[in-house]
Amino acid sequence: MVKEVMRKAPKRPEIVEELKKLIGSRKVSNNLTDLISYSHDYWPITFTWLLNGSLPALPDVVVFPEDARDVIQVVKFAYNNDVPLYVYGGGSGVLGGAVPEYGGIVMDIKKFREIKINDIDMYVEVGAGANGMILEEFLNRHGFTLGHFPQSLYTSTVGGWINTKAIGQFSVKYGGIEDMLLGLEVVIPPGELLEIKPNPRAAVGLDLKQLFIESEGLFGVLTKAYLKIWPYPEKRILLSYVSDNLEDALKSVREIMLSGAKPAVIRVYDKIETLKWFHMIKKAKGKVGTIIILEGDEDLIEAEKIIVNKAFKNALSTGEEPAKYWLENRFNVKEISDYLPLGIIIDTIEISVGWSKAIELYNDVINAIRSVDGTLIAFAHASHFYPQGVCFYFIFGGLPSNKSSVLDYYNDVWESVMSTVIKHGGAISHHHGIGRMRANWVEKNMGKVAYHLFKKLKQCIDDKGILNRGNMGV
Amino acid sequence: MFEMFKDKWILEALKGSSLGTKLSAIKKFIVDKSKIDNLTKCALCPNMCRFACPVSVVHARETTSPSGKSRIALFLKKNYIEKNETNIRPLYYCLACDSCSVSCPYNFSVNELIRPLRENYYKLAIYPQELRELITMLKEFKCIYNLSNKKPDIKNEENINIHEALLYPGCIMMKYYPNNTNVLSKLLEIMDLSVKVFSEMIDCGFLAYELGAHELFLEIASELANKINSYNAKYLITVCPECTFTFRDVYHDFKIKLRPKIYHIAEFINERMEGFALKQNLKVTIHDSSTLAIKLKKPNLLNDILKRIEGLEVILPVRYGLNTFEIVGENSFLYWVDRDLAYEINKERGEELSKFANNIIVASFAAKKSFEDLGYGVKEISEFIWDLINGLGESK
Repeated sequence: MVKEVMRKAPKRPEIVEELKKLIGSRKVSNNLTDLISYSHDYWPITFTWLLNGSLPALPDVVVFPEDARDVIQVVKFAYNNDVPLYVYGGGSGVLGGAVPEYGGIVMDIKKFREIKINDIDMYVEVGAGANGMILEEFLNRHGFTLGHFPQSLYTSTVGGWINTKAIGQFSVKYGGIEDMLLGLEVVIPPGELLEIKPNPRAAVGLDLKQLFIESEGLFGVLTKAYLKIWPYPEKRILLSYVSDNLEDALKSVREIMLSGAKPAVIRVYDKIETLKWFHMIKKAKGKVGTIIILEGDEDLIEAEKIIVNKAFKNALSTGEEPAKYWLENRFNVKEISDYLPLGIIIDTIEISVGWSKAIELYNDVINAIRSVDGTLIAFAHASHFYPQGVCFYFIFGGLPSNKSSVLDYYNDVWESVMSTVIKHGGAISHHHGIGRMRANWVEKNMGKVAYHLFKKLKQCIDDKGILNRGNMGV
Repeated sequence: MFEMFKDKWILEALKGSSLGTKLSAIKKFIVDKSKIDNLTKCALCPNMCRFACPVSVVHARETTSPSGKSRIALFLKKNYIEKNETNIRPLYYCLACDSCSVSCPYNFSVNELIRPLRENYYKLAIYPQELRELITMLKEFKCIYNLSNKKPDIKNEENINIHEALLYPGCIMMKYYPNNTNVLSKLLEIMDLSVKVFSEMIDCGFLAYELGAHELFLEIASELANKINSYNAKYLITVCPECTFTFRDVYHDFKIKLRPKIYHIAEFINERMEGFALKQNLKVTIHDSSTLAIKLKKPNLLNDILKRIEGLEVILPVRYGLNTFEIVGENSFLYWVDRDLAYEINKERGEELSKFANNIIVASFAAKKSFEDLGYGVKEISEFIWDLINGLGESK
């Protein structure tokens, strides 16, 4: 018998037959196996429950729409019957954003996976359920790239990227998903299809696309997106450097960012993580490693290489190997599989901050994690950069002592990191979003007025609060 | 000493933790690490191989995604959910193609992880009802079809005492393309082999094995092996990648001895085509078999053969080689469990290939049958080569 940890509403079995009548029984399931599969995303703490047969919350029913009409019908049904509706893509979110805590309907949008390239206007029209790797391979075969490589590329969907404001490993050159999004189609309550056509730029009233970026399913059901594409890069240059300390490495990267050069990848590892990614470089021990990948037009990246070398003139150049190693291993995600069954909880926290506070914040967050009893590991890298600042990606792992539970340890680390980031004026999330894990800190980080406006917008668009009920605390 | 500690950087990373925490962790690594089973590891993965799984891509549901299946399998194994026909059904939404293993950091095949559960449930007579007919056929005829009235379209030369090669047509070829045995024999003879055709309709046991019907598999495989060995052939030539895999790997695992050296016809052609100056002015694309590419580690076999044909333009599809996209033949249990999904998967692949060329070259008669059913122009590699040798090929 499976147990539900977070479910907050009574069961509504009566909606199953009604939905079957509405869109066809083939597209509706209340099989226990389906309810289990859609009860969680990739929020690490919930996987500790899963191992014991407990799940966050089972939905009452799962629907599998095949076109926009199906989506409209289900949204209308949910609206008219006040049934919570949760949208599900690849389930790779790490903060519980897709957990159906009030039950109701989970809608899987992965059937929306058509891909059409417009090679004159340089965009791809793609279903919101399309898988990232399938999209990128398709583009590559036709001579293009999206330039969007989140670590979840193999499993996540286009709709998930937009809903969480995702970013990829090649972000310095290609930007985040918000820089790629030209247009979209989304079904909003009470059941209308909103279409925003792709244009290079538009100054026609409010840019409504922005409502759906990092909205985590609160405002509508995304069915299609129009994303910018680029010619497949002509050439790639792999570089790496070892600096004496984090300050020096970040100073070099800042110089590159201010020069106007756009390396595709820049990754600065702290002293601990440098040992992992620069293990083949003996001189890297006790230092800070940086990987840089340039790609695109050959003349352009040769010029960028000169700028990069100049910025790292005081560091040791360590060749292609660390970047090669990273390219080969960047999608090996196995930490949770390896350590969770041992009772060791592993998680990541990504934040952003201006250059002026970057080092102080890094040190304070590492110390905050270390201060929680049970912490085994705490380290970080910086992997997304802007002329104004940096995103740090912290990785922690802990084995709670006998006195505290895994959940207590986990919550204590999150509390200590979030409050440290807020104290320094940073953003509590850079690209994973909020979900249920970060909901408690959103108001503090956004500010009261902004959060109030956010809630008002939610009320305005989804007055019955059917969409992703409970998420972000809205 | 401990797997985690092989990576020295972790030792450095642990330096910052308290002594008590460090000691607890070390105890865990010593006592518990080796106890984590592979199914659990797969169930805890965020589905990093889902893009490569044809079932997951086309069915587009979490429950039949690779890690989704492992999670359900884990819940069944731990008795968190009841073992009934509905709950075990996701375990049969698999093509046994091992595409998942290619991008898995552990190289897991989800099929390998969940087959033991199918074996347990088969023993308990719990399996999707659609498989009943198939299982009855396997028990009664030792084949997925009743082919008792089918015979190969060839008369074996009785005056040759020692035949170098035994051609094993397999179930799909015998049901749908029995005339091709003649073509294949002639092709092998041109390649300097004396050939006999295996004429009894016993299948290789692949489906029985994959279903987890291991006693039934042993019964089929033992009888077949005895008969094959009685021919005293030097080579056993198969036309089906699944037969090749079963004879080469599964029989070996079950300690069933096959004396002849086992070849898939494409492997044999690849070895012996040197003397033939083949020419063809044509544009083709290929559908690589996942069994040849992944299980038998021959990812470039079709392309290696075709690129030696002068004038032939081979247009590679989006998914080929190790990254091929398997289709559903009648020798896959998904075909029997969910015919609509099988059709959708094949249609998806056919549409992809037809965007690159009108002529599809395949390495199995099961694939030929599936593409033909959808109306695509398709040739199995041996018949394609035979037509070229005889000047029967189409031109651009």
